Amino acid sequence: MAPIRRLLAGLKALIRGHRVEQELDEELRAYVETSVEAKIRAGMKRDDAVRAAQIQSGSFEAVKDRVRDVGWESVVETAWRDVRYAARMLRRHPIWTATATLSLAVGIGLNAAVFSVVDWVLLRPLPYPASHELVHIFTAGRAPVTGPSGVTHEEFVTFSRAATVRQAIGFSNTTRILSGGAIEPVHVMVSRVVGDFFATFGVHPDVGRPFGQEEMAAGMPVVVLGHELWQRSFVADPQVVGRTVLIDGAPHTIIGVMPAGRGYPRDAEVWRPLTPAERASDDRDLSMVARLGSGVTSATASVELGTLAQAVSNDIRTAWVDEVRRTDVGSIKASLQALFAAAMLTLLIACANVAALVGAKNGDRIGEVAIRGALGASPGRIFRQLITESLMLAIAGGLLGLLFGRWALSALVAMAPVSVPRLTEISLDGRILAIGLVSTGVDRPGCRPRTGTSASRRDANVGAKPVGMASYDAAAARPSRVSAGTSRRGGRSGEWCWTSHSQSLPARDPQSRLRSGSAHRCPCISAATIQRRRAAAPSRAGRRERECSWCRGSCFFNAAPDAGIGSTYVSERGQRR
Amino acid sequence: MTTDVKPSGLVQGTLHMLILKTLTLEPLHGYGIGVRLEQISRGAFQVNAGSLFPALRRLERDGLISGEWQVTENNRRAKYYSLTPSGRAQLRRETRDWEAQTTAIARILRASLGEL
Repeated sequence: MAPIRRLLAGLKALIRGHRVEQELDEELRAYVETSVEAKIRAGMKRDDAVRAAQIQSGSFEAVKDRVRDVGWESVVETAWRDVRYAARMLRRHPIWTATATLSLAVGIGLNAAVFSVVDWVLLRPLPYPASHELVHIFTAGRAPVTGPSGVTHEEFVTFSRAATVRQAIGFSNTTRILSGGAIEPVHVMVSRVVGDFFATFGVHPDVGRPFGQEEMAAGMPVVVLGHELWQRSFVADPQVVGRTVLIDGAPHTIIGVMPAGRGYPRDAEVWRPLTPAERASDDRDLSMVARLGSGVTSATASVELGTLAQAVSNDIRTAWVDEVRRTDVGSIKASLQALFAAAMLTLLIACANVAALVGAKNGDRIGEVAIRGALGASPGRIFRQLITESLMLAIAGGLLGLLFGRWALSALVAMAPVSVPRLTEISLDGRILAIGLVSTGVDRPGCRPRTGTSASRRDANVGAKPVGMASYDAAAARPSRVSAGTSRRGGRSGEWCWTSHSQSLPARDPQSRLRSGSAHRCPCISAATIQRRRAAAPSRAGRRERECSWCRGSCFFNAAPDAGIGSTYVSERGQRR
Repeated sequence: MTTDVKPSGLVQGTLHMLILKTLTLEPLHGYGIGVRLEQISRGAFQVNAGSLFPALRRLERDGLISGEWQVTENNRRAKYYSLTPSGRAQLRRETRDWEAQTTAIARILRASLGEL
């Protein structure tokens, strides 16, 4: 029951936040005023009573912060306040924000795109069941020594019967003209196959049926269409089976459609059985892929096939196997690895760029952080604010990086050879995008230890050197100056800080006031004349937001609610404009 | 003695119990609760606002006390807190637990060498 009550109370506080805050403020005022009256009744002078009550009650802001922290909704409110503050900060520095965001976008996007390609091509298994069993079979001359080559049909038959081989296919690609019926004549890559294609790769046609044993044995004029060709030229017609197409003028019957992305070799668009005439050729133009028996290693198969090759060739030739997964990416593996290293380097450079940008900007924020610390913000609170800013920037960079990454991925895929496995399946990898976001998000606070927590531990006077600090007399609504050194974060010297209560100062240009010496210096830059930012509307926190006319609205103040226009305050935040 | 009431541990729980106890007689505002605690403890406990108000907020959220704005004898608006039935039951439980604990601790502290 209690958790539900707390949840409801939190929701109520979120909805009635302004009113709750006002009530708390009123309650604390009543507390202090009652305390002052009690002390006066006990014989103290009013000033002494006020001071004693103030010391006894402590900092209003600190008390209010502790009360606010009681409910879970304070986390939501704080986070929302941080987000708004961070958004304001980013908006005020558009060039800085754009530069940092673009740097991150390029780093994150490029990295995500390249990693996606590397992941799909190099790291993931081939899209066939037990793909580690699939091997390429190569032959080569021993005397004289020749380079790797394909197999003859005779060698294919011999190797297919090896004990270590479960199923095998041989294929030879050639470009032919496909025409017939309602389709436009088109050049297609035709793969002439021998062996049990579908059993070897463990796939089944999307539409229709696989080649029958008799069709393969007789080399009958039947074809299986590639998935893309089926979609492109046959408008993905499910009734395509049984239709006749012409390959170089010879009629062939369509019996099936290859599943998307599963055809092999990947650049083939039509598969048909090897004809008896083609089998009779002694050319080594058949590429052979075999599925090894369960538990058979490549080394074992290589030994057996090598022995067989030597036996059928009178010790002139040898044979060996290599995993299809390796041979397929062999030519582009090094390129991809180099590209990935370059992308990682780009991300590092982007992070370094952003860190340098942040570092350059941090010089202006030491005063802000120090004064926020003096006003009661804990190092954790300041750190959360910095983290929020970093996350906002990282999210902006990430979103832009997502767009950039999609574009970069499309470009990479378009440039890649057709033989690259899983090319049609590659999509942007969300994991690397998230890693990029997180790494760049936490990168910034880590680059600013001086303005993070250490600056908050510094004397507020560092940030507000030219100004004094004053305590606030709640009862008399007038400041009583104390030395700057007495004010500390969470201290008892008062929650309001200002330099003078100068209602009578003329509202003229702060620069001229600075020159004439009538204005005190602003801790964020040089001068601070305070004007109302909004029509005396107190913020949710019960404070009034005021702006420094010198800083043009960059400063926000913990201003006394009933202090008038023209008062000069120590600003909480300042930015050179 | 001034209590520096920490946000966790026995002291925090004790403060809640003491606040509930002060409200058994009549509704009180924040300052009144602090004064009543100081009076009853004969100056032993001085609870400052930084400890008192978070505790009041927590008790109110848990439904153990309820607050209502009223006018004080000095014609000033103040929030008066009163015990709810849940708060009364909670106070009984906590008092019982507290007495059991203190009795047990006292028994240990008074144990003779032979008993140790």
